[in-house]
Amino acid sequence: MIMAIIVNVDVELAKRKMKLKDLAEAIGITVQNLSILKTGKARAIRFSTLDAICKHLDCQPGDILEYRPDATEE
Amino acid sequence: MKKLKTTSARLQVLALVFFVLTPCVVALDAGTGAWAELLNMPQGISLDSTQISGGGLLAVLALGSIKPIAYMVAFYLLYKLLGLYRMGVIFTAENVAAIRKIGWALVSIDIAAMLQTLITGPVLTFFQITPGHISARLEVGFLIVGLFVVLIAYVMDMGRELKEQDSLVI
Repeated sequence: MIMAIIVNVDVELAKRKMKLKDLAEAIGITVQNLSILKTGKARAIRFSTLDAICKHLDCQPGDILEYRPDATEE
Repeated sequence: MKKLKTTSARLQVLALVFFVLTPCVVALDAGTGAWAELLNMPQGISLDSTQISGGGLLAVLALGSIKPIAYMVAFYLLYKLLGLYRMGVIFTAENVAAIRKIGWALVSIDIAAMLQTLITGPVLTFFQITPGHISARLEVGFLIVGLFVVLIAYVMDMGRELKEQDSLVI
């Protein structure tokens, strides 16, 4: 199922010149799971995970998640 | 998980023992001439053992093997399922398929038993082993359990889908 929700973890990581592995270690989830999230394959995200990402990257949930209606047509 | 693996390993040995014992019991019955036990004959019907030779012997062995073969299939499938549990494979498509197969194997035991009872009379009469008789028996014990196991397989399939979805919740 293609969703219109885009995950911008990679963009936020790039802004901070941080690696996926470092974030995974910092928030206590596996690189594989974070990769699933980054590539948009995840079906859902826990508030606790979102909280940890936002806390560590010092950003808002809106910076991580984006609603793009035309993404379903891509 | 460790307990499940250990228990499965033990039960797997038990399933293997029963798998091997089943044909041994058939051979023992045939060897000792316990034909009535082998064929699950109703009481009161006399067997003429002198007629059990050649084609008659083959027919008796074939009839007597119907139900044991169904048992052996069930034990083999149980052995395979326990092998999956022993390896820690629980909520997978392979596992669900194995449970479903066991369910249908259990159903087939009762069907085989009813079929065996139904055709034993005419076959033995044809070979003049028994005086003309026909009998039928309703066996539903394994059938009910088997259908319940098939139902459990569907529940396990739902569990597998939930697990798949859960693996994509980050």
